[in-house]
Amino acid sequence: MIDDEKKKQFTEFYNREADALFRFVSFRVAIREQVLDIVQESFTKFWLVFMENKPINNHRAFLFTIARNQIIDWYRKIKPASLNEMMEENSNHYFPEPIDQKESDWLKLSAEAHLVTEALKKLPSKYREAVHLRLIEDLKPQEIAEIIGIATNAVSVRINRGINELRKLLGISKNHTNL
Amino acid sequence: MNMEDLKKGIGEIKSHGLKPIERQEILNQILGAPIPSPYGHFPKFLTGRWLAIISRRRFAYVLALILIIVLAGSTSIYAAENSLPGDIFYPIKVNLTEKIRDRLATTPKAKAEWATIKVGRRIQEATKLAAQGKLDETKSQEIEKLLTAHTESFNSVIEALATSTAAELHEISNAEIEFEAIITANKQVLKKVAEQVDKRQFEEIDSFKFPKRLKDTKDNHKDPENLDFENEREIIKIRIEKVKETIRQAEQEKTEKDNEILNNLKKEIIKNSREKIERAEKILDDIENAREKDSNKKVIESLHESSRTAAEADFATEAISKIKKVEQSEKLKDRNEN
Repeated sequence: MIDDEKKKQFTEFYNREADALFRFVSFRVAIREQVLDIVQESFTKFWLVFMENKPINNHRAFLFTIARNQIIDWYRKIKPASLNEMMEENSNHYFPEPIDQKESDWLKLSAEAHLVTEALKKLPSKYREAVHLRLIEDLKPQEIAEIIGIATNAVSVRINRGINELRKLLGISKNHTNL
Repeated sequence: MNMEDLKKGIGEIKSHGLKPIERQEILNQILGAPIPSPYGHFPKFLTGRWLAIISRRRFAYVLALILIIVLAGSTSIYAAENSLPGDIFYPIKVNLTEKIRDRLATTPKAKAEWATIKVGRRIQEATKLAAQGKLDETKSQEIEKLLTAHTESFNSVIEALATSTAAELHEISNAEIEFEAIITANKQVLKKVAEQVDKRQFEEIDSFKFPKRLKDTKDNHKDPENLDFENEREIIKIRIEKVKETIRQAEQEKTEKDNEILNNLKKEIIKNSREKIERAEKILDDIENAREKDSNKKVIESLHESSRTAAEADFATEAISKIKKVEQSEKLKDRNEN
């Protein structure tokens, strides 16, 4: 029998992180049904590990890492990435672009939110992920480092440079420093 | 865009998430998902679509699997029952089906009877092989080995009864007579078959040994005080009549002119059986006269001898039906070839 306490802990975690994970995936996968599938699959994998009492350092980082791998797997299935492309992007840190932007209309955003989203999409891919996880999902640099698989310092640099790029894209002056 | 707009935009993006119904549905599916076995995973060929196909029609597949196992098993066992030494199914016959029947025989009487049946089966196999000209050294050795084992198991049953009561001994005594008779009668048949088929094989057949003789049957196990003489005599008479009828039928049947070997063999068996049956009858007649003057023990000895002789004749005539089967199968073979 599954421990009721475990179920309770998982449900609390799920309720806390489900929306964040949904946003994280929906920024990379345009088809809503596919987003829901990836979210469910990621939580299911997390649940199986959690249930077996395997050690998990950081629950959030672990969940986002699973989701990230799920997205990469899905892209490989539908659009086999060339080896060269993956090598250029550094295979460990490669993260795909959304394939169909039109289908993301389900995100009914205000003008401000739309601009931010568009600006985020225009960021170089290596900055985009770090900035998204930091600004939108409020993950700590250590957690982002764990998800992406690079050093914390490198993540901090990417966040800093990414935010600067975002400001430029949105026409925000450098005087505003409290972001 | 200013900083406030950016914060507002980010805030709005953060407010987006799953619909409540989606959120609940996903959670239900995760917690309701089957728990994987801690003992390992399915082999790769059983995962994915194969597993999906099987699980969708699970009952049908399980039923089909059971049917395949049952049919394959029963076909193999049926084929094994008619197999001969050297056949692919023969090991199933002697190592599986006969071993199972060994376990089913629980009483001394059942054990003794089953050992006798097994000896009969081995002799039947040897007869068939010899008639087909396929009784080589390897097969002879295999049959001899099995015969020795059956004889030993029979002896062990008899020996275990050494301290038994008269009633128990009476139960087993008939089995003992049958066993000895089947050996005596069929040993001659085997010799004759081999002699007719191939001179070389005669030597091999003659080397069939029955190393352990049965306990001396002269010390009859039948209890003289409780013996139902009339009943015993009636049983022997019925057997004598049965053998006579078999001989009569065999003599009336048309013999195949081409198969001289089998014809000679049949004649020899008939002659041998007739002699035995006449002897059994004579002993039975003598007992009638001797009952007045001889001791009970002597009468019983004679009764026993008559019974054994009739049994030998009975087993010998069984070989006639086996020969008939060989004749029929050869005839069928010839017809198919033509």
